[in-house]
Amino acid sequence: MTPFLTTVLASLPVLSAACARPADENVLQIRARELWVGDGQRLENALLVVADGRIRSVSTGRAPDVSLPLYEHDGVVTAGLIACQSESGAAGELYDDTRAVLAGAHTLDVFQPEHRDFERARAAGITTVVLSPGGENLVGGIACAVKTAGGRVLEPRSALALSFSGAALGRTNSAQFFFFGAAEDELQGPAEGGPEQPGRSARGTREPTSYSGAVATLQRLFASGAEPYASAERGQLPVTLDAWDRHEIVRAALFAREHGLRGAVRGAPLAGDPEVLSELKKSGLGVILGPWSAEQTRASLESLPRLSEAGLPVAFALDAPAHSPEDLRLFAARALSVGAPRDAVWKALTVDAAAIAGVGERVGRLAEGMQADFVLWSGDPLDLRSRAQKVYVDGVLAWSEPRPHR
Amino acid sequence: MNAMLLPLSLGVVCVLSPWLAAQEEDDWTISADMVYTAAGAPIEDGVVRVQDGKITAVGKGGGGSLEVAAITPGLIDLGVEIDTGLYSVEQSRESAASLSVADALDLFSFQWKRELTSGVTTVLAVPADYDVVGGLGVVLKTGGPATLEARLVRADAVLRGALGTQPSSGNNAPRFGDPANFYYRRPTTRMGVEWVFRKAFYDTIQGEGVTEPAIAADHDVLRRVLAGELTLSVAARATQDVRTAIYLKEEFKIPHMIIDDAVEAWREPELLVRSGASVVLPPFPADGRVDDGFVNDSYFVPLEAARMLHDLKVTFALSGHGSREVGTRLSDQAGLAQRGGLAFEDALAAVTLTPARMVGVDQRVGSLEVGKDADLVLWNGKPFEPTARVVGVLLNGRLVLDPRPASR
Repeated sequence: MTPFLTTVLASLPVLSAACARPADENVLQIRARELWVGDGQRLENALLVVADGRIRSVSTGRAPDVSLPLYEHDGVVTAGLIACQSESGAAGELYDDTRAVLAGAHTLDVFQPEHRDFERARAAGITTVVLSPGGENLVGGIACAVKTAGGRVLEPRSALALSFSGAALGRTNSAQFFFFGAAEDELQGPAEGGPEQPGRSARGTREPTSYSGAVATLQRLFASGAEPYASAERGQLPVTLDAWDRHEIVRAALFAREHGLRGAVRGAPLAGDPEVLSELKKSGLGVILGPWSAEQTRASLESLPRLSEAGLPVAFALDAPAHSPEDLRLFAARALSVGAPRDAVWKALTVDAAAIAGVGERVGRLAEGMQADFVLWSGDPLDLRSRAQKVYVDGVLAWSEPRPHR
Repeated sequence: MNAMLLPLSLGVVCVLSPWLAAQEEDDWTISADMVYTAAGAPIEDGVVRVQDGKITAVGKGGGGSLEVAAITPGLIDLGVEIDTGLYSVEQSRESAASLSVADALDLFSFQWKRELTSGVTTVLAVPADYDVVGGLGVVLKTGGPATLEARLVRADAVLRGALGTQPSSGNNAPRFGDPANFYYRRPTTRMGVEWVFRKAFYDTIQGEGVTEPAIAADHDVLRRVLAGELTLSVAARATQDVRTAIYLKEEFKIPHMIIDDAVEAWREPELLVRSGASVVLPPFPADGRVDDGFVNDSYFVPLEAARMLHDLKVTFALSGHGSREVGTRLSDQAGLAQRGGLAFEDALAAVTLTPARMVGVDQRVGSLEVGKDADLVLWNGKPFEPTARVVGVLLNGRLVLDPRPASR
């Protein structure tokens, strides 16, 4: 080591005492025209100070530290968006046709941080996604919550995925060669926005094939006291329960209540139906709505205002890459279009989503000590005309809007 | 005259509306030209009083808050065929006795309301007949909150089985080019169905000490059937299937059996009487023919079938199979059975008290008697006549279909 460097290193404690911070610290100051804290507060001319990947302070009227660079943003700064259910970077990899119960499966095993799905998510202002098993398996395995940049795993075991959906029953992707559908089934149509319902023989490769068989199997698994069911029953591991038709949601809610499970129902287009809602309230579950399709009915869009009015945490499923990450804000806009309050919709994109993903203490809000995942929007992020201009994950610039062509 | 009465009646409604709102919940006095109680002689100019979901008085009198032409008990259908199709029955086994349809119901289906507004207030729900032994059936109300807790009248009311062609439909021997699945199995024929049925009971009798939980649970249920604690409901349409059901009943000494969808039961009068089994008739088809749907075959049931069963003193009920087609409501069946010679009172019994007894819920429903559930059907004419219709329905004392014109 050169004498010069030794001198510099020796003087560091002195410097830090003088400046109240180490000189090599990665500090970022952003002054925004508007800043959404995430608890409903909207601050004007707010100063966001980020250090070491965490939020150091959020304030108004305080002068920036002139010794540090200041970035002025003539727009809105918010916490990064959170997608509660996605297959980002792992499309078609999060289920297994050959068996119904995949208790040992772990979506973290197929986390591929360099996949361009994550870049697309960042470009849409999404900083956290939950890689969640599909509803095709009765027990789909363990979901994980990951950042969209830096390859960071936020929560390796975010939830145990169970499915009460018809899609989990005897399903296979094998070719269908018979169809014995009851006429009445067709009359009722498939669950709104729900998974495609396979014909009889296509269901014939895997047990259980029936709702009653599914309930009996799950009861046996939970009665066994084995992992991961025991952790779920103790409340240590949240669950997500895939359910689309109203009766599936009620069945899931009753099961959760019986076993003291916490977590959320996923899919659930008509979760806002009063009779479904009352069962959901009793169960204490949240709801991960969607993903919403182009054919979504008004009644299903209205689920969000009804659920939030009832005080249930609500978030959106994204299901990327089948859906564009930009759809997350589109879902929000559609909820707004049927009268959902702005605060409720914003919470569904951030605070509630973080709570449902079990990471509400770490991300979803811009408050001191939270991880510095935030987005610089060109305007109101609930206005679809606004764009994400810069996205920071853990205090590091993770995406920047390309210069427009002129 | 109507024009003069309208403002007057509106005024009365305005004054009484708070009282009406309070009454709406659980307190009604309904008078009718005729009250058919299904538990004794009909009452002319009768009245039924309803409080807190129960019937509190039935007798002569008038001046009710609702006035209609006739009142009958809520109708009961043991063959309503409302299920979640192939999701209601476990296809990985041919015999799934311990699974209950309670875990596979869609209580949000519009079909329950269709039944309710046509006067059917209580039904037996069973798994679809795609297994030889499909599982446990439950007795439910057709309205109320969409939870089992709110609607259940009796859990484990019957064990459902099926004979004939439907339980084997779709099963086949392995074929080249098809993906492997568990439809490569017995049964593929009527004979195979009977074999599976017999095996289920035979294994139960031999199977003391089975430890595999699913099989042990199935055996427990089948043992309850053999002990007479649980009624076996078997779908059997063709004459030969009815015969098979009866032979199996006798072979295994099954005390309580309902032969459901028994299109051709009337063709085996002596066996029926000898067996002591009860019967649920399917809705009467316009031409008497019921197509099999799975093999190129059809079965025949005349309008006289109900009267013939009555004359044989066979316990029977009528059913509407969920009113899927015009003229197949349960109330239509009671009318058609009368056209075949059945007396009105017997037709009424076949859609009320008799089915209630067959599934063991007659303590709660099936007739207009003090203390029973206030499930009432209100008619604008003589019940089951083609010119009469259901104008009102009370379920557990709640007016779920309002007969007053203003409410329409």
